[in-house]
Amino acid sequence: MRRVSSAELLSALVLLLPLLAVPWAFKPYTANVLAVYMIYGLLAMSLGLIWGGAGIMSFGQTAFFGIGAYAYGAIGLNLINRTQQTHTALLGGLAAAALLAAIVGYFMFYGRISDVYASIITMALTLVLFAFAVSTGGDEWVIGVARLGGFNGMFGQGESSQNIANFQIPPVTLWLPGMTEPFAFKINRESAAGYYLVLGVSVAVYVLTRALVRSRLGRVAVAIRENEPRVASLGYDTRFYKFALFTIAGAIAGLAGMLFAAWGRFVNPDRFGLAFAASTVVYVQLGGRASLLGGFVGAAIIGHLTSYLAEVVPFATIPPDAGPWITFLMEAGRRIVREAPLLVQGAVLVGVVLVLKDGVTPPLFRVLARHRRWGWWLLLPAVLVYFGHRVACQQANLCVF
Amino acid sequence: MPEPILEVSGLTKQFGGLRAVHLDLTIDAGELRCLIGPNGAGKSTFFRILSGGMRPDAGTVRFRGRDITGWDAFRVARLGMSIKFQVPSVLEELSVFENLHVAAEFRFGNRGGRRRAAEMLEVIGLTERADHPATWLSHGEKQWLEVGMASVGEPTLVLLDEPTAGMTVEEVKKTVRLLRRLNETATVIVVEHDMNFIRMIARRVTVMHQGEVFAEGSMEEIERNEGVRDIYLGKGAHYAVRR
Repeated sequence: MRRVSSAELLSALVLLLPLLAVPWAFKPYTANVLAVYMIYGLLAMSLGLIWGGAGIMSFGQTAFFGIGAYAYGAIGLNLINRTQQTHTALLGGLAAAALLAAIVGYFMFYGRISDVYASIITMALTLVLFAFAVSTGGDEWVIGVARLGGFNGMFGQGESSQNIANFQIPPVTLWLPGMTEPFAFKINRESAAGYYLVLGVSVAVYVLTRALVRSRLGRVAVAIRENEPRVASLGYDTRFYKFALFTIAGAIAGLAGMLFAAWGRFVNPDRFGLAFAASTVVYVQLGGRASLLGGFVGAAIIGHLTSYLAEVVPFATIPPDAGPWITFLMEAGRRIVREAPLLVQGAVLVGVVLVLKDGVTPPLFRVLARHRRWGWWLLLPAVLVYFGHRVACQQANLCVF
Repeated sequence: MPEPILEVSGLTKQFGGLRAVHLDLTIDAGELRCLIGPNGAGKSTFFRILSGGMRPDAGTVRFRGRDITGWDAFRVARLGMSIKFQVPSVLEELSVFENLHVAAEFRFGNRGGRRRAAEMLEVIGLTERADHPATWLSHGEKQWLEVGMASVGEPTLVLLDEPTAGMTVEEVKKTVRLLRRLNETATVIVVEHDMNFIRMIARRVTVMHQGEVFAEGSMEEIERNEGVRDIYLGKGAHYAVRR
């Protein structure tokens, strides 16, 4: 177990180096997309923490993600024009998500509801929030200048100007003492600050969560996953451990939600939806819940796959000399992929679960742990060469791979 | 005059029409008490009630002078009672060391827990298997590990439910040594079927039958008791033994 963990730490470092270089090596668009994978990865990690760590499958981890996003949006929209920063919004979003998780967790675990029902309860929670968020389209659903906006999502509306001016959820904006002007973490052609913010937060949360997993809380949680009555008979109040871990996981999901709202400057009820909740479970299952990195890996694989399929395959040109069968198959393939990224997710999930029931990371780490003598000396230069090539070719506008 | 550490009075547990447990029992501090009886005598149910895994329908349990009837398992454990379940229930995917560490950490913290866990590994003779997942252990080794987990927190009272089930003669001997050692610091109640094992360790034996205390005394007295032979071997069997 310890071996796998040190392999995990090393692979986390190897992943981190190229990630730092992404804004130079690729188009801003790539950094933008990677940031959202990392945000989903953070959400998936929070699910992995509670699912892999304590054996509690929270199907509706998205509830905390969505609450974090909405709370950040509502507070941020109201305060950004007055205070020029989003400190309060960040704290408020985090507090809202943690509080919701604490309340739900309290009733679930101190009410002695069995862990199987935990997934049903959290799923119901996210669906209730979805139904609520959808029904907030009317003019009466306003928090200050923030309109909840129902299906259309949240936006702000200027209150004093004669023409109603709509504005978006602000990006994460800091104005700390000593700074002459506020700094906004935007992601666009000019700035990759938002990307680095997401990367920095992901790394920090990963490191903290890793320490948490190795603390007493994490160790006891794993023991509870293995055999709860046994752990209780050793003197541990298992309800408290589950409650604490669930609340922390909820707060991490809320943090991811805030980053999401700040990244897209937008949030709508889909973040509470069933499809998103299911995707999160798929990320964790695909990446593997034995490791905290599993969620990130799963999110990256699925995200890349669906966006690749959605971008590339529908526009693949059908050769003019193709026979009718080939034309038909290609056309059908294009439509299926275009219409149903979830279908692709499902197929990938079924495939992975059949072949590797613990996801893709454990065998990966086993290989790295076994060949750590030379594995790293092979992997690291390969990654560096690839990224060196990307940076160089980006300047010359001539990229082969 | 030894103090009673455990006083059970009028303890009743009903499963539908079946009265599984109905008994009064007193255990003195420092005792090594054996609890025997045929299958279905209520021994395991009794243990589950004691350790907080099940609520009784009536009666009280007093442990170290406090009424612990209906307490949660973790509170009972915090008061110094630990249990080894009938079915070995170690934490399968954790290593042998981690199993003991989790058990010891509650009382001694992380560092102290590590030291105690390492010491306990020596005592139960599993030092070489410290890094193996518990699921790799043999049945007998799992039993020792669980005895270790039950005793590493330095409890005042240890309940052991069939600690030698499925063991070879040599393994049983080792278990006896473990129990003697454990009894130096803690009161121990053992439920067991294996009469040889009982003979090796027993000072005082309580026979349970249909949920009640049927007989109590030294091993010799119990072995001489014809009623006990009746319930254990079936009526008529003691004639064969006598001849």
